[in-house]
Amino acid sequence: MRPIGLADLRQITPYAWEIPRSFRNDMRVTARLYASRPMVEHLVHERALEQLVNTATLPGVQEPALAMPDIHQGYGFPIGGVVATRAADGVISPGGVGYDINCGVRLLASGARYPEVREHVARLATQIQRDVPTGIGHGGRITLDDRAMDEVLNTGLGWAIKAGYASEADADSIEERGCFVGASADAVPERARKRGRDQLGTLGSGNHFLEVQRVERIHDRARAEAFGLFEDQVTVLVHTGSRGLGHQTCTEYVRLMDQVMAEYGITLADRELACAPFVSPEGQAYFRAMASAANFAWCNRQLITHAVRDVWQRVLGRDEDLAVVYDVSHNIAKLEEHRGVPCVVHRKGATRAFGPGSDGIPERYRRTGQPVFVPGSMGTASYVLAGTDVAMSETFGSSCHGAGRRLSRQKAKQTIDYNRLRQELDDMGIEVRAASAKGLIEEAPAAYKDVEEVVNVMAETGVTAKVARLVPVAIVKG
Amino acid sequence: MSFLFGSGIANLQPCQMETVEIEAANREALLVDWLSELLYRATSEYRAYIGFQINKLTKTELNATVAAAVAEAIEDIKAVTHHELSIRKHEPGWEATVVFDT
Repeated sequence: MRPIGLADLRQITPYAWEIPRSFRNDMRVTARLYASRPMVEHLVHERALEQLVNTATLPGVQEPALAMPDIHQGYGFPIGGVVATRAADGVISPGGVGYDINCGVRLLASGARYPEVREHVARLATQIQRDVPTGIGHGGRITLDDRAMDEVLNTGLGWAIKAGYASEADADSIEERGCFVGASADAVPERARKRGRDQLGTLGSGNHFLEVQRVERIHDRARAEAFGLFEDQVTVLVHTGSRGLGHQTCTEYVRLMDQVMAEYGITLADRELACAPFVSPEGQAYFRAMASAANFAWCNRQLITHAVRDVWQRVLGRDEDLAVVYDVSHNIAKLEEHRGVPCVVHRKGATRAFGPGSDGIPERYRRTGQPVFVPGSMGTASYVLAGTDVAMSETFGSSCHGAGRRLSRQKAKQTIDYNRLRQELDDMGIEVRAASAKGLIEEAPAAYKDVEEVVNVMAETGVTAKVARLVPVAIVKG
Repeated sequence: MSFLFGSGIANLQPCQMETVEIEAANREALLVDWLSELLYRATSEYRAYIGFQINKLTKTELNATVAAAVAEAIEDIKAVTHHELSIRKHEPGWEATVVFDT
């Protein structure tokens, strides 16, 4: 395959670029990238664009195959990719969702202003690290028996409400109300259940984190008010997914798809794109398993929410429950209708960003568009955005999901000095609780793109509107 | 497996022997499935594998006896991927490239 050069990209607007179908014979649709020119100049040397082109070859792919400005190299699909396939005759691909099924972000809002809690932040961070299992090793505080596991996988938040970890109001503030239609525990491999049985309520490692933040700036007062956000407010951001249960589910279905693709006459540029027709028995089984793993992830973030609420009340002595602003998934495949066509929308490192008036978002966000959370790299700002009509017409209702990696973890370890990084975070006044030095280095700001640039591209194209800028005051990392 | 369990793995004592049997469509899939099997056992049972005896190895089949020790991983590996997977003859033996999702 010939490398992609700048001349292969056609700039269609200041922040949108396309690689036409004529670039490669096997492309079924155009590949479109949202990025600034400097971002594109950097990206042409990366494998991620070739991966984007590969996704444009999938059977049933809808025009166009997309990449958000936080695009970087993934496995098969690029991270930051959005690929919609026709439900009727297109494919579903486990690689288009990723190994961490329903990895996502939840924002919790307090009623407190930062000056009210400033002196307690260090204790808050320490206690959160004690009460929310992080890093690698043994799991959480509960181990699910078979019956409870079935209920988590089948009903998601329904189980959490029954078990006293969640309220109906929490469910109202989560995509799909935390219960994916079509979930079926029967489709989840036994090994995935076993790997996840003691991991509910655990943060994990890698890029997962929990952050106490301060709302530093409001960009859109009306939307911020609708989201329950105000200046100087203290918020908590939770970033984690379905842990070992999701990883094993993906592993086993990639293997299954790899085995059956030939029967369906599917040939691909990359084995990690392994897929099957959505309507096939294998496609349907994966969809049910993925939906169940998504339920597991929502329960995981809910148990962490429960623990954080408890810490908040104990440390601060405040009689308030942190409110769930919203919970967004950035590794998932959803059955949605776009331009009148039922589609399987694969979002791999991308966030749903439904605009005003859309079905499937909470009633109270119908006028504003749904909240979208874009965490920056460790120590940098995060953004609250809102989905727009442009997202609905141009990006299958999708936006970016983060800053996007610039350096691989290996490269970060080779180039970033731990003591210096620690000092920089100290100088910024951020309380850091990390399970390992390695984990901290891998997630250093220098390993990531500039979140401001990523968010600006989305705002300039009109896909998402800026609502608020949040800055960290404490970070708990696996 | 020192990348998963650290240098302390050298001091671990085996607690039991286990049999691993894998069948796959080709050599590459066999390698991914073999490593995935060890990853699954290591993460679900909190074990390190410190001794390997390959009883049978063809392009599509592997039978091994592995020595397990009780240990917790220091590295979190989500999965073994097919990304840029390659196996090459490289005198005097073989060279493989496998990418883990971490």
